[in-house]
Amino acid sequence: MNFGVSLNQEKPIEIALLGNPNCGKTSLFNAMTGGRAKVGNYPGVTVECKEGRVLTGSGVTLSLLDLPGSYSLSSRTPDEEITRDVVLGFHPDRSSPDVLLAVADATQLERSLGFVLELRDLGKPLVLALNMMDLALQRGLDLDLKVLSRELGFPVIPTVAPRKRGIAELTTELQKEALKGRDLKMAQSQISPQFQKWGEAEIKKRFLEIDRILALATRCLPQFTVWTDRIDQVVLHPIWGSLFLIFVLAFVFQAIFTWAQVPMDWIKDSIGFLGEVIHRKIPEGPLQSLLVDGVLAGVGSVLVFLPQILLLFAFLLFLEDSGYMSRAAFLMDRLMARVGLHGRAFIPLLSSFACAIPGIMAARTIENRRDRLTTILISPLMTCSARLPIYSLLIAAFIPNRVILGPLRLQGLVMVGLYFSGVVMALLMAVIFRKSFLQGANSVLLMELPTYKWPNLRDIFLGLLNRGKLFIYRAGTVILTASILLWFLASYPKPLPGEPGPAISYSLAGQLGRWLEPGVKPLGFNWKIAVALIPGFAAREIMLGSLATVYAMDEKEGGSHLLGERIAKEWSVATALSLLVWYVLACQCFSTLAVAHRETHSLRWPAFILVYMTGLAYFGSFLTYQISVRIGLG
Amino acid sequence: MNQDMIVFGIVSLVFAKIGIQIFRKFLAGFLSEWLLKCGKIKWAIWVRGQISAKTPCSNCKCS
Repeated sequence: MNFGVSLNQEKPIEIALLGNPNCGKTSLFNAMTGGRAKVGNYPGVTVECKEGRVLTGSGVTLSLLDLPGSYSLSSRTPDEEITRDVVLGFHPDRSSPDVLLAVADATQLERSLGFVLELRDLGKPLVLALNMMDLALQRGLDLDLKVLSRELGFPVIPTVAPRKRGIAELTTELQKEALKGRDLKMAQSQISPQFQKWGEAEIKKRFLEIDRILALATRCLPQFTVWTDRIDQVVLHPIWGSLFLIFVLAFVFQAIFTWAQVPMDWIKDSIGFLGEVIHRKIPEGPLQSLLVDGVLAGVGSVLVFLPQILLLFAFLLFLEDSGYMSRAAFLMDRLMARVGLHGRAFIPLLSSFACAIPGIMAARTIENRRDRLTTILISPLMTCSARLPIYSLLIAAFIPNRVILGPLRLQGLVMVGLYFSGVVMALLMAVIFRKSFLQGANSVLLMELPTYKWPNLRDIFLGLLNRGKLFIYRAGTVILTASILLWFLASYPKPLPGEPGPAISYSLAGQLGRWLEPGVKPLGFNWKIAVALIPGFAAREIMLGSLATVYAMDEKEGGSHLLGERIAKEWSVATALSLLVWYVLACQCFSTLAVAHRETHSLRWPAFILVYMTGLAYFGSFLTYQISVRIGLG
Repeated sequence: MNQDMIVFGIVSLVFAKIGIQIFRKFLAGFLSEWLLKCGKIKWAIWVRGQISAKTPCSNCKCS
């Protein structure tokens, strides 16, 4: 096999991006490809390979592969295994890369060089991108890059990925290295012995080599900012840090409720206006009903919550990028250990606040199999963004907007309470699992805390844009399909002339709902909720659209913006609370189950998730409804 | 074209889309195996090609 690549390109030059977690690989990937890969400031964000293309000025195509962060090719976690397999050419779906692009954090060079030296020993063409040079220079680091390059034996290019500095020089060097190629025989003879036989002596030798290189190449050491340590004295304090974390979470959820109100009203008004236009232009009949009661009611009721979803993601991205999330993970380690969880589980669980799917995938960073499985089993209990619309609807309809303390209102507090109850249930289930069929010793948390930095607003904006597009795409496909289907089931068959009662009760959906009603009556649910729950099992957000369609078909008084008012008149507070508890606990996402199947390589565990969560939801809703009725909320 | 026909067309399209997705996810694999056993290789390859390789989730950035 020859690593040299001719510029007469039939295939692109394959380049693998490697480095420690948090060194800016994905940020560099985005800068080079203009891609939209998510950028996060804690390990576990990139747990899959992300690929992008770069067309250089000389017309050469580079294929860039962003690999999960690794500390060593002696892999301990599934995501490090992916990196190792791709680099060594063992991955079944990928050929060995032509050039390795190692990325190192210039402010933490000593920590990064260990992995870089491992890559050097492979004998493949290698380029080092020394990222975050702006931060390093701010702190007074002065490196002689020529000496560093000479001692390492390959090119070193300083970069500032968010500002795209050094990218042009980097792509030029990558092309040069691809053309040069290296002697593969040397690489092949060194691969197996290097990773199997690392002992203490080898590691010590490696560190001595790093010290020697840095001593030669460093003219002035960086002065780490005192303010980072000062902030950490508060943020990592067991009491003040925990209080700060609670304050941050309460602020985030209150802001989601308050700041999103105006754009949500705009969307509601626009949908209402669209409904009026349809009423005027299309004569009364099945088509008008389909468009207003099916499409607008269903899709509109979900689209209305787009501002809240975007706000939630904006806050999560901001906290990730600033460096605070790793501190939060560290704080939570004590609590996690008490319930038998690894501290690293905090990051997948926190990701699950956005969506359980990347959260479950991020569990690959957990070495211990039992810890990983426990995390996967409880991730769906974390309140994901898909639950937010139904929470918002029910809280707005049933919880008064009373001031509690300063800017804190009852609605915001209830929202925090719902998120908190999801967390509490997750931790409780972790205790049960760890004490029963997943027993084993706890492993120690060892994690890097990145330095604080002002988040990159461009990356946050790109992340939000991507999220918004995905949300609208989902509304326009899955939810639209479900809304039309449910409209059909709720419209036909029609009653014969003269038959009593609302038309919907004669339809297929009505009959199905009546059939299911005895099963859900103890939970305080009526047949309309029962009908909406069925498609809601496929994806949570569908339930809201389905509920809107069913109520629109029943009343025929207007579009989705009346749903909150209608349920406020028809349901009791007990029913609303019961449905909220159902939503906290039930697994209503086939996609989550599919990813759990993929990550556990088994059908047993996703089936277990579905069964235990449905059982929890039924029992929880039942208790909530029965207690609420007895205290006078029924 | 009256409203009933338009609605019938739209709803039929939705049912067809759902049917195709169910076929791709759950039936195409079995069908292609059966076609292979029957010696209909070209049909088996065509059916196999209909199986979607996409991840089930479109609500997050994961590959």
